[in-house]
Amino acid sequence: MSEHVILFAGPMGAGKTTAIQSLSEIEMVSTEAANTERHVVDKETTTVALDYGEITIGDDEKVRLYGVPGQRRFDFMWAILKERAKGMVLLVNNDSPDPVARAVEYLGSFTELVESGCAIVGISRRDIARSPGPSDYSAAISAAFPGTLIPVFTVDPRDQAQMTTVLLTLIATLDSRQPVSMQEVAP
Amino acid sequence: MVATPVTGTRSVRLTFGFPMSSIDINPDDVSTLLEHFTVVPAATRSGGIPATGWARLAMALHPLHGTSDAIVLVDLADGSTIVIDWGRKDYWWHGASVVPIEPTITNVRLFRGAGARLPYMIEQPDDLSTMLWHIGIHAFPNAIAWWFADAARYRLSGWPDFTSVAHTPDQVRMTALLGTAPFTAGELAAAAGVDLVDAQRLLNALSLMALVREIPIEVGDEPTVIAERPRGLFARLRARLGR
Amino acid sequence: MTSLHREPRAIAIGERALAELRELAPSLVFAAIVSDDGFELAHAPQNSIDVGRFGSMTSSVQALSDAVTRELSIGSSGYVVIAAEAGHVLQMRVPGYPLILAALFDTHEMLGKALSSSRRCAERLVALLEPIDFQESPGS
Repeated sequence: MSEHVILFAGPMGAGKTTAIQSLSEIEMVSTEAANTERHVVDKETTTVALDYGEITIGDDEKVRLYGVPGQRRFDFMWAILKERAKGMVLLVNNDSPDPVARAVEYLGSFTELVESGCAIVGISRRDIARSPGPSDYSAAISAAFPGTLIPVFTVDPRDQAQMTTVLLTLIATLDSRQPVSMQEVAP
Repeated sequence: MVATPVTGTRSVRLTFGFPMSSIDINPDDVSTLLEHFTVVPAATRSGGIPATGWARLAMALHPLHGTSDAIVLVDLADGSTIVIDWGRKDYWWHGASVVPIEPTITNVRLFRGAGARLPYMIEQPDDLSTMLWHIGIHAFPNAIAWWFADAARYRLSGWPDFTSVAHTPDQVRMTALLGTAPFTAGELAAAAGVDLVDAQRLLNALSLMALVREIPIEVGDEPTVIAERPRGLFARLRARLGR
Repeated sequence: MTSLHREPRAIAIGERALAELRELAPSLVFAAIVSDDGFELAHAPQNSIDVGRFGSMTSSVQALSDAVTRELSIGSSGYVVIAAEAGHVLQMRVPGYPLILAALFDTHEMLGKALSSSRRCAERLVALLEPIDFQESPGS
């Protein structure tokens, strides 16, 4: 069985669970608990272990989608799952306070994936808060992780077509991480 | 000395039909601003053929790279207008619900100056990068854009916001390749398994969006050759997801 | 009801129930009562481990075990045991409340005894919490 593990990370309320639901072919396995921090993020439930979804590519090939909890107190789950991940999607909610700094902070917990170019950022709720925009995120991420080219897209996690574009772009960057083969020009 | 207070918001309807708030300036300043716009004639190529359609606008915008402040007003024959705030990288489209692929552009006016910004616009703008993508893809449909050097390769310096523009999976794949090595259009087409014009169109768009950097070809440089991977993970996933 | 771990009366009850558990089970190393999303209501003894982290992990383990029992359609999760060389962690929900009891016993305790002590503690919590209407503010 060939499996490709993609991690979905980011602050609480950014849309990780929703994004996996949009992409998953199976009914998502979720681990939601009642949220007792309504003052922090006004959601009824919150992920406390992981979300799991999958896409079957062939007879023995799957893309496994894992969503981790957003709160830092569950960062042991981040550590467990990032070991297994080939790439990651970072989702950030654009109408949260200083979302660019939060994106950089979260990427800092996954430096191996970021520095090897196996990451993509999705900005959610940009219809509610238009600024900052993708170029603001790109500038901050390039400054924090020099030499990387992390795509930054505007996304609605509920939109399957958009989440598919995000996933395909991530896979395209993973796929292209191969040594350049140079050939001599024929005389 | 008498101060002239500006009380409340006054709408100023300008000749191109965009409602604007004059909360910081008075209407006289706005018309004075318009007087300073210069018409940008259509660029011409050898043989004196002027650029038409989106090529005309692409040739007017490309020189603005490196400028931080400019305002561009574009008029189309069907009455549509585009307003570009180059400094904020915003634009407003006022016209048909679908932006055309082959427009007839009747006028391009430019105002360059330090601090050039539009007065507060009531309508929400869109990201200029999405308009630059559209212009870049359609401006030179069968060729590389006129501003490209003859002997250069190109390497990605940033990604377009693909979820916000009409795009194909091949364009995503080519963009990913440009992130790993420098390519000419021909080398990129070969690596991605697409027609040359498709690679050229992508490079035109990315270049207009300032998302590629030019690397001159030196004597003795080896060509960039990356084997096409028709059965790679991207191809398999793309097929599975119906793209 | 959803933020019991911030309710002073619930906290006092939690501390009392854990004190009783310690008396009942001398092999208890550490115990905590946490909300479903991993926040601590009470723990004993004080200053023994990083209760914030332990609470989060308890919440994750509980949610994962619930996911397994749902997947297998075997009813709701009863209790979870993590058996290690130097101790057993036992956790179970407090029936009727969004709370989880988690306790670490050293290996001198038989698992069965640890389980029955924990169950007694959970039942005790229910008995003490039941009469209180947490919608009303205290002292009214």
